Amino acid sequence: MTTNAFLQIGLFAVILFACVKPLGLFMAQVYLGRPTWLDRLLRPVERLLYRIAGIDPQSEMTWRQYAAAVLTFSFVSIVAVYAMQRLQGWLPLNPAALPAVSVDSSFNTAISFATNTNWQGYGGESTMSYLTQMLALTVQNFVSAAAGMAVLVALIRAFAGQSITTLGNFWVDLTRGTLYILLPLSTGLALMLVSQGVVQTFSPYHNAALLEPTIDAEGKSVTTQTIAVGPAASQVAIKQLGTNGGGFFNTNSAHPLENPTPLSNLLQLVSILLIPAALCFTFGEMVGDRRQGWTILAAMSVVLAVMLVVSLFAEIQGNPVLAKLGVNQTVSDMQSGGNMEGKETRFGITNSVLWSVATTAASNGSVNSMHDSYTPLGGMAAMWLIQLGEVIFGGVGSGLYGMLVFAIVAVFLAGLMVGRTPEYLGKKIGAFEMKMAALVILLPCAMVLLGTAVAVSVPQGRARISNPGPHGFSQVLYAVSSAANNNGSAFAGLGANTPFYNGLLGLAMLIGRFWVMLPVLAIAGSLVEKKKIPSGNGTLPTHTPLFVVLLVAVVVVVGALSFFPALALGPIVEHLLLTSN
Amino acid sequence: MDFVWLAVVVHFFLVSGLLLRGMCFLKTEN
Repeated sequence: MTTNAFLQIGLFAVILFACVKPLGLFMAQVYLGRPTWLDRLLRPVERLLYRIAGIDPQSEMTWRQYAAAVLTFSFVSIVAVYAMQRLQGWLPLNPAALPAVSVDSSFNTAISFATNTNWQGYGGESTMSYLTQMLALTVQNFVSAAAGMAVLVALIRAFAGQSITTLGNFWVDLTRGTLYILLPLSTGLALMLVSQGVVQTFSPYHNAALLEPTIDAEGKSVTTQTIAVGPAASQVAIKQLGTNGGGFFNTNSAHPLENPTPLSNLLQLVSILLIPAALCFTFGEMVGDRRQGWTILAAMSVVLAVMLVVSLFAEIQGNPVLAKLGVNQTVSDMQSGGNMEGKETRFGITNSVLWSVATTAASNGSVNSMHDSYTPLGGMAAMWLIQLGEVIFGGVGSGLYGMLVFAIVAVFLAGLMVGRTPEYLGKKIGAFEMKMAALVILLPCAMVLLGTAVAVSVPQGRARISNPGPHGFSQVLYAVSSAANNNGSAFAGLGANTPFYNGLLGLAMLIGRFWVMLPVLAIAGSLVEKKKIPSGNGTLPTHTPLFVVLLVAVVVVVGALSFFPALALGPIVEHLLLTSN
Repeated sequence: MDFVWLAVVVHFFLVSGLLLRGMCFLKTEN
C-alpha cells in the first residue's frame, strides 16, 4: 500500500468518527423529544403534519401496534410505488416519454425501495421518469430509512425503560426521523454534491455530436450520443445517507454525473457510514451509558477494518493470470496498479475498495466500481459483509438493531459459559428473547441459502448467468445475499431483470426486512415490560474490550458457519483456480 | 398481470400479520 492510500483511508476515518458524537447526540435529542436547534423552523411543520394525518403525538404504542403500523405503512408504500411505475407513461415530468415499467420489474423495485434495499434490476435513465425517480423512489429513500431508525429507537426504548408496555409512537418517530435528521442532512449534502457537478435539473436529455463517429453492433453509423440528466443530486444525497444505494443512473456512483470528483466521492463515502455509526452513540446516550454505544461501534469497526485489509490486499495484488502473462500491475506514476478491471481510473484501487467494503458493510448497495470484476477474495469480502446480516454498521437503524440482537446472543452465550442468568443493560434475557433472536439471525441466512439453491436449480435461474462455473455461482449467491439482507448492490454480471429473479429477489427482500423487524419489535415488547436489575458481581460487563471480542466472535462464527460451504463453491474455489497452475 | 404481482404482496403482508399474532401468542405463553 502507498502512503497516499493510507492518507485517503485515514482522512475518511477521521471525518467519519469526528461526526459520530455530535450527530449521535443530535439524533438522541430528536428521538427523546428534547428541544433541538431546528425546532423553530421544523416544529410548526411537524405539528401541521400530525394535524393533517390525524396523529396524536402523545399517544404511545405497544410493540404489536408499533409492528402493525410499520407493516401498514410499508404495504401502502409498496402499492404506491408500484402504481406510480405502472402509470408513469400518463403522468407528468416524463420528458423522455418513457413507457410504463414492466409488471415484474415494478413489483421488484417497489419492494426494493420500500425495504431500504434499492436493488435495481433496471437502468434508471432508460426506465424511470423524473416523477417516478423523485416522488416514488426518492420519497421511499427517506421514509424507508426513517422506518428502520424508528424500529431501532423502539428497541432502544425497551432497554432504557422498565415496567411499561409502550415503545413510543411509530408515526412520530417516522416523522421526526425524516424531518429533523434525514431532510436537513440530505439538503446539505445535495447542495455540496451540486457544487461538485452532480446534475440537478428537469431539462430533457441532451444530444451531443460525437467528435469521433463510430458504428454500432449492427454496423450502423453512430454520430450522436444521448447524455442523460435529471434531478440526480437530491436522490444521490439520500441514497447515501439513508443507506439506500439506488442510483439515479444505471452505473450508480461510477457515473461522472452522479459522482464527478474526488471530493464528491469522499462526501458520498462518508455519508454511507455516517448515520449508522452515529446511531451507536445515540444508543449509548438513550440508554444512559455512552460506553455501551462506543463498544458496539468498536466491534463494528474492527470487522470493517479487517475486511478492508483483506479486500485491499487482494485487489492490490492484481490478477495472477495477467501477472503470468507479463502484464505490469505494480503501482507507478502512470497507473493505479493492481486489479483495475471494472474500477474508475479517477478513484483507483483504494477509493474503490473502501467504497465496496463500506457499501456492503452498511447495507447501502451503491457502487463506484464493478463488484463483479473484483478478484475472488475482494468480491468475497464484500459478499461476506452482506452475509453477516448487515450488522457491521448495517442499514440506518436496521444495522444497529441487528447488532443488538447479536449482543443479546453474545450475553446469552457468556451466561451459559459461566452458568449465570444472561442479562444485557440490566434486562434479563429469557427464552422468548432468544427464540426471537434466533429468528432474526436465521431467517435471512435461510432465505439466502434456499434462494440461491432454487436459483441455480431451475433453468430460469441459470439462464441469465454471464459467467459459467464458480463465478456464475458467486453472481447468484451475491444477488440473493444482497436482497435477503437488504443491501442492494450486485455482482452485475447477472441479468436479473427477469420475472424469475424479480419475483425471487422481491420475496427475499420482503422476508429479509419485515420478518426480521417483527421479532426485533417482539424482543422490544418483551424487554420493556421487565424491571431493570442492578449489575452485580456475576454481571458480564458489556462495555469492555472483552465484550467487543465476544461480540465480534459471535457475529463472525455465525456468519462463517452459515456461509462457508456456499462460499467454498463460489469465490474460494474461484480463487484457488485462479492461483493454481 | 398487475393483480398477480400485487396479490403476492398482499399475501406476504397477510402472512406477516399471522406471524405477528403467532409471536403475541408465544410471548403470552412465556
